[in-house]
This record gives sequence, C-alpha cells and structure tokens, in this order.
Amino acid sequence: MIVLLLLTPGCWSRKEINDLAVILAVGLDQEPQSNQLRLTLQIAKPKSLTAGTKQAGFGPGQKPTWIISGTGDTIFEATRNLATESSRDLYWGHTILLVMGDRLARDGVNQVLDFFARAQQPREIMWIMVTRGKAEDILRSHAELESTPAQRIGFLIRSKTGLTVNLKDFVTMMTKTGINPAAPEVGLATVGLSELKKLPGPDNDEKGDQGNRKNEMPPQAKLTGTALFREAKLVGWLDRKETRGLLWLKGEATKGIITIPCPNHPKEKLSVDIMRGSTEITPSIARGKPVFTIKIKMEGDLKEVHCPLPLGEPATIHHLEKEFARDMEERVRGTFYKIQKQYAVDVIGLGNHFYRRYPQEWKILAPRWEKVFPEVGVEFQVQTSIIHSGFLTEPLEPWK
Amino acid sequence: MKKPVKLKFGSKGTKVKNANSYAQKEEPPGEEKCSLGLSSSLEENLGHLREIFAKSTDIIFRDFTIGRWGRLRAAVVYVDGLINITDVNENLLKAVMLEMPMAGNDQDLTKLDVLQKIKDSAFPLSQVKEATLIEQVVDAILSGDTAFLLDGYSTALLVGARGWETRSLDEPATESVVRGPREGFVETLRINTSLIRRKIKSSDLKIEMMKLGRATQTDIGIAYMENLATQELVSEVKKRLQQIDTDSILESGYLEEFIEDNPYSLFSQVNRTERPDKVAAGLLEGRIAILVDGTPFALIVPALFIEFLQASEDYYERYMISSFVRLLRYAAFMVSLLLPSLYIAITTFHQEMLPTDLLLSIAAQREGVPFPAFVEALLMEISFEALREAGIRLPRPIGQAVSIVGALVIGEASVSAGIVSPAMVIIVAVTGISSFIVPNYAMAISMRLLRFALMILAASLGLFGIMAGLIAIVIHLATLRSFGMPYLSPIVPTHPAAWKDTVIRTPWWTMLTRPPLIKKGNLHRQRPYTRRWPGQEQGGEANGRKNKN
Repeated sequence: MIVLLLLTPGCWSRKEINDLAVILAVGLDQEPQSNQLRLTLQIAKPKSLTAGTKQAGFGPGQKPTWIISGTGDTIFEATRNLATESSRDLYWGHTILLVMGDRLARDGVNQVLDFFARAQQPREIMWIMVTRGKAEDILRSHAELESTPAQRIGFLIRSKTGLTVNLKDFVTMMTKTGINPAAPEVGLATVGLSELKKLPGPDNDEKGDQGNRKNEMPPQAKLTGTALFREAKLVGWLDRKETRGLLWLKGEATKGIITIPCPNHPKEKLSVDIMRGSTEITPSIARGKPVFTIKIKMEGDLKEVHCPLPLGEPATIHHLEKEFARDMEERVRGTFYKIQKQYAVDVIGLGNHFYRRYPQEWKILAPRWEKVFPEVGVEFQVQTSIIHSGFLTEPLEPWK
Repeated sequence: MKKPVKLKFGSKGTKVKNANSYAQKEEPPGEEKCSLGLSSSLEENLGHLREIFAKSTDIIFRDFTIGRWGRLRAAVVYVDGLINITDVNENLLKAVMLEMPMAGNDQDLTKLDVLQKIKDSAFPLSQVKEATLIEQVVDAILSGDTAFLLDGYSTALLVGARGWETRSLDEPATESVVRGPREGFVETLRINTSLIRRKIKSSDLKIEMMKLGRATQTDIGIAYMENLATQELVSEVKKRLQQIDTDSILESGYLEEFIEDNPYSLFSQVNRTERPDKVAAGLLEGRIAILVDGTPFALIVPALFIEFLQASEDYYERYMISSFVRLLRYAAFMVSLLLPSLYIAITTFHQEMLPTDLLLSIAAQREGVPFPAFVEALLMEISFEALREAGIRLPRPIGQAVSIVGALVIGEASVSAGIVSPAMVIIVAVTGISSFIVPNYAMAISMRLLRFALMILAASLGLFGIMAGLIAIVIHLATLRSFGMPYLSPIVPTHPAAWKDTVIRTPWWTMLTRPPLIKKGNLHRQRPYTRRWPGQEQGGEANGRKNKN
C-alpha cells in the first residue's frame, strides 16, 4: 500500500542527471536595435567531458560546451524560448558565472539580477562580471587548463587577483546604504604565449615559434580590471593596477606582489610578496564634515632582490619597509583619486562605514552622499613590515 | 503433552543437583500417570521396549544370564552408534557376565539386592543411575545411554557410556579472529558446556538442562552466573522456553524465533555466537546463554543493538585499535545502509549538492545508460545479492567460478556494455565491502533488506524519503526490547556509565564496573587501582586519579 502510494503518483521533481542541461555560464546582453535582452547560455556537454579515455566521441575537435542564445523581454521569457531549443531541461543549479555586456550594464542591472536572486535554482554564489563588448564572446572563449571556459573563469576569480564578487555580494552592495557595487571586468586575450615560451625545443627560434602559434591560440578570458557601478548602472572602469589599489582599500587583497626600485641602485628592482594584510577604515567628523582614516597594514616576504643589499641589517629592512609603504600608498592614492574625483562612486563603502559609526548623522548625509563623497577628506596610513627574506640573506653575487 | 524433564548426568555434583531440583520443581503433577512403570519381569519389560522400538534396526537388544549357573537373566538395550562399544563390552558386559560370578556365589546373589550390588560395585563406569519408568528408559536409550535390565527388578540401570562421531574443535567459521581463542562450539552440547566451564571456573556458573521438541527431544542448556544474572531474567528465559511446544528444534534459530520479544522486527533481538569466549563474556555481564544440542550456535540474551556491531576481538586487541575499528564499523554500517539510496537521491533530486566537476563527471558516465539511477542501482544490488548467495551455497570450487563470472559481469562487462555507469559499480562495491565489515551476520542481513527499502524511498521522495525512512527505523529500534532490556540502551535510555564500551572501547583498567544490565551482585569488575605497582609511580598516580573520577 505504502509502496503503491510512493510509486503511482508518477515523478515529482525527479530528474536523472543525464536529462539535465547543466548551465555553466550565463551571458546577458542588450540587443542594439530592439533593446531586448539576449541570453546566452554555456551548457556542459558531458559526453565530451569524460575523464576516461575509452569513451568514444572525445577528440581535440570536440568542444566541451554547447552555447545557445535567445532573446526575450525578460530573462525568463528568453529562457522559455531557449527551452524549445534544448533537448534537455535547463538546470541553473550549477551556474558558475554571470557575465554582463557593458551596454546592458550601463542601462542598469537591477532588473536582470532580479531573476537570478528570485529563482530557486541559480545559486547566490555565482560570480558576477562585466565585459566591454558582448558577453556571449566571453562565453565562447577557449579554456586551456580547465575543461570548460566557465570553470576557467571561476578559478581565475578564485585566485583573488581581481575583485571577487558573487551574486549575493553584488546584490548586497547594490542595496546596502552607503556603498556602490563593483564587479570584476573580464576581457578576451590571446593568452598562453608566456607559457609557450617555456616549451622545450633546442633550436626553437622563440619569436618564430610565437608567431606561428599565435594564430592557433583561440582567445581566452582574462581578468582585466574592475567595473564601477553607481547604484545599478555601470559608470567606469579601473585597470589592473588600480584594481589592486581598490582591493587594498577594500581590505580584500591579502596576496600580491609589489616591485620597488632598490634604494641604492634605482635601476635594479626587488620584489616583495604580500602575505598578510588588513585594512581599517575609521570615520570621524571634523568641522562638521566626514573625515576618514584608512589604515593599511601589510606583511610581506622578500622574494627577489636584484641589487646588493645588506639584508642582515635591520636598518636595511627598515628602509625597504618604508619604500614598500610609500609605493603602496602611491598606488592606493591613485586609485582613490580615480574613484573619488573622476567617477565619484563610493565602491569602498566609506558611506557605510560612516553610517555604522554615526547612524544619526548619516540620516542627514545619506541623500546627498553622492555630492559629499568627492569632497571627503581621507588620510592614509600605510604600515608595512618585511618578515622573511627567504633562504638567502645576502643577494647572490659573484666572487670578486 | 509435555514430556517429563529428563534427568541428566553431570560430571560434577553441582550440575546433577541442579538438574534434579529443576526437574522436581518444573515437572507438572500428574505426569506419572501417563507413563508406564517397569514391571519386575524382564520378559515383559523387553516386550514393551521391543514394541516401542519396533522396526528400528539400530536398537540393539542383548539378553544374557549372569551368575555362575545362569540363574539371573539380564539384558542391555542401546542404540547402535550412540554408545561407546568398548565401554559397554569391557566395563558393562564383561563386568556382569565374567567378573561378577567370580566375586561371590549364587546363593549370595539371590539373597542380596543384586541390582544395587551391581550398581555399587560391578560397573567401573562413572555415570550410572536408576530408572523406574519405561518412558525414562526409552528417553535414555535414545539419548545414547545403555539400559541394563535385570529380571525380577522393576528398576533399570541407565549406564552413561555414550560415544559417537563428533566434529573436532574448529575455528569458528563465521567469527574468525586475528587475535583470540580459535576454538569454536561444535554440535555436541556436552562438549560446548565443557568449553564454557573451562573459561569460567566458578561454582556460580550454572548450566540447567531441559528438553524441547516432541520428536527431536533436543537438549537445551541454560547457562548463567548465579551471582550476576537477575532471577527475573533467568525465570523469564525459562518461562519462554517452556512454553515452546513443537515437534522439532533442529537449530538454535528455531528457539530464537520462539523467544524473541518482537518477532516481526527486521532486527534480531537475540545474539548468536559460535565462540565460547563470547558466551563467557556475556555470562560475566549477567546475560544468559542458551545452548542447543546439534548446533554450534549458542544464543545470548538479552542482546542490545550496539552488540551487533562489536566483535570479541575488540576486547583482545589494544583499546586504541579497537576503538578505531569500532568507529570504522559504525561508519561502514551507515555506508552499507545509506550509500546507494544517497546516490540515487542526490543524482536524481538534489544535483545542486554535488560539486560541479563531480556532477559533470557523473553526467558524462551516465551518458547512454538507458535506465534511471534507481533501476540501475536496483539491478546492481540485486545481482550483487544473487552473487553473494550463489557463492555461499555452492561447493567451494564452483563458488570461485561464480565470483569470477560475477566480477566480470558486474564490474567490467556491464559498464562497457553501457548498461550501468562506472560510478554505480563503485557505489555497489563500496556498499558490499561495508556490509562485510558489520561483524554480525544477522545485522548485516537486516541492513541488506533495509537498504532496498531506503532505495525505494530515495527514488520516490529524495533525501526527504531517506530521512523519513531513517526516522522510522530509529523509532522502531527505540520501541524494541530484548528480554525487557531496551534495545538501544545504553544510548537510549541513557546510561553514561556504560558508554565506556560502546562506540569506543576504553582500556580494560578503566572499565571498573560491569554494564548496568546487572542489577544484582558485585557490580565491580576489578579493584580501582589495578595499575598501581612499584616503579610505575608516575603512571600509577595518573591512573589512580583517573580511576577516582
């Protein structure tokens, strides 16, 4: 009886794993003429993804993903249109990426994100990113080390070289008071050249080799910077170096490399690897205006030294630490200038920090924060320390 | 109709005494009427016996005369093959036929109570007793005793000169150990009781006897420690056993089903073992062992759920290893119960629970598999069960062939034929290995059946179904009792004092008390300062402190 009850009503939400079209990445663009949404889906093709070599159908020509594209006034409408093209049910539960074209982003993203935040299947942890150009081009990109482009970009983001913003973060930044959203910018590049250089070959003319292979390499996605939003609309970009400054400002960068000139030989360089870091933003009110102190603390290890330096002496290290701090401050200031003066978008969330410290005053300030932000005073305090110098205390120098 | 409880000989006085008192107490009044007394005529007695044993070619009647002039007629009756023929010839027949007449003259014989004299001084055998009822004589003969009947006496002498072919002591096939005693029970009850007696040399060890089965007259031994087992438990076991009225008890499994608290449960509420050491350990915890003649499997009651996941080796190996093995066993228990159903539930209902790479990999493997995951799993599990069953029943050489064929079919061919996915093969294999880790066969069988139920639930309701199934199982377990003991104790109801020997096993020197199963007698197993000896001040002190807690 019970068994009958369980079996007779048919199937509920039961779906075999190979009846699913697993969407790995979503691209959103705006059609130039109709202003309709164009939804591009990158769907995994399990057949060509098998690890086992026995399986037939796995060849170098076989692409691991299938890309379909459709239009609609809403995303859901576009989805329904696409469902007629896919033999399997679209499955959003494993979507890794959401790429938005800049045209759409400039128009505002809050409407399109509604679907992803509202629906059950898409995860809150899908990465959000913006590209200059069409999102579908990013989805079409090639993946060298990973099996699918979506996974490749996912890993790129996780390596924390740029901003890491997922759907939840983005929606939080968009709706929270006193902060504007930012998302990583992704672009296409013929990457892989530097790796090709390392290919062994005794009589390889390096340039010739590059030249030959350049054409063969399909474009791959690459993190190129940061897209800055005011409320939900894209307003500007930061390049990679500025992105790093932004990460320090936001307290997200705990890793990275800084190369500074040697104190005694300005032509030679040395590199410091940042191991740990923290950022502390303290708002205060001075003469009725909000003032912020941004304290950045970094710890790093010396990774490469090109010039002869007495590294065993504390004074040298101390000097290097100062240089290191000065360089960082310069970069942070540069980024902050761009954010504050050029674009006037508070992506660091200074307003939010202020709100948390002075909730009453913020009520007055909030409506005109956009105007106040470009004028606020900011004091930077950068503290750095060098912890290790590696296995070598002195730089490598030939015997004299 | 109830058979009169037969008196058994014991090599030790205590046993005989016990058996007597037991028989006197339990024999219902009026039983005598049903049974015919022996007459003083040998002819008549032999006639009765011949009638009773008609057409039984294995019953030997040997009548002869004793005394110098052959004045006294006598007979021996026995079952061929159940007696030690040398004993009967040398010590019984030779004694009365040749040596007796030398000892005195006929005059003396006729005047004296000859039977008493024969009993007292003629038989150089230790087990001799008298019987006055035909029924007793018949029972004794069928059990392997030799009946000695003398003309003119309405009393027969039952001489215990039993001897039949038995299997030698072997390592228990179902419970082999790496470390621990390698002897197991055999089919003969008397040898089995002697094995227990050799482990526990205490007069508190009582082994009471009864016979069950109208046709089989199977000897049943009820062993317990008088100072440890509660009287209520002992009488409850006896009561349940006495209520059995069936014609055959061929294995202890018959008894198990008769005396279980909940016969409809999938879970066995009676523990069974082939190991004397396990029985001894049970007795020393206040449990009762039921030994059945004709099977090497003894029953131990009450049995708790956790005991089915313990092996006797846990107590012989060092406690850290034992605890690790026990944890492993619990994990394997859950795996063997849940793995296929979890796989079905997650791949057909909750794909979002899988990491993306794994999802794609499983999806790739399932490309071209024509069945849903549930059917696939069912197919594999059933063929695995069939393979296991085939391997057990077949003679060993053919069994190997079956496993080779099975491994090829299940592992290799079905995957390359695209009928099942490689992931499913792994799932079934891991489940199979895990189910072998569960040390008790009864529990392993329960798991196998429940696994199928959970697979159906998983295929229809997903993880929700699995949870519902698990909750139902736990509720059922919580309601079970084994001879009054809650099945899940000491976990539920909670007895933290007994947790030293549950999921982990703490060292022996910390287990100061016996499990709280025993409500009487000396609860303390050992002195609290066992590990204090000179030269170990530091350790001793530490241990002493630990023991005080």
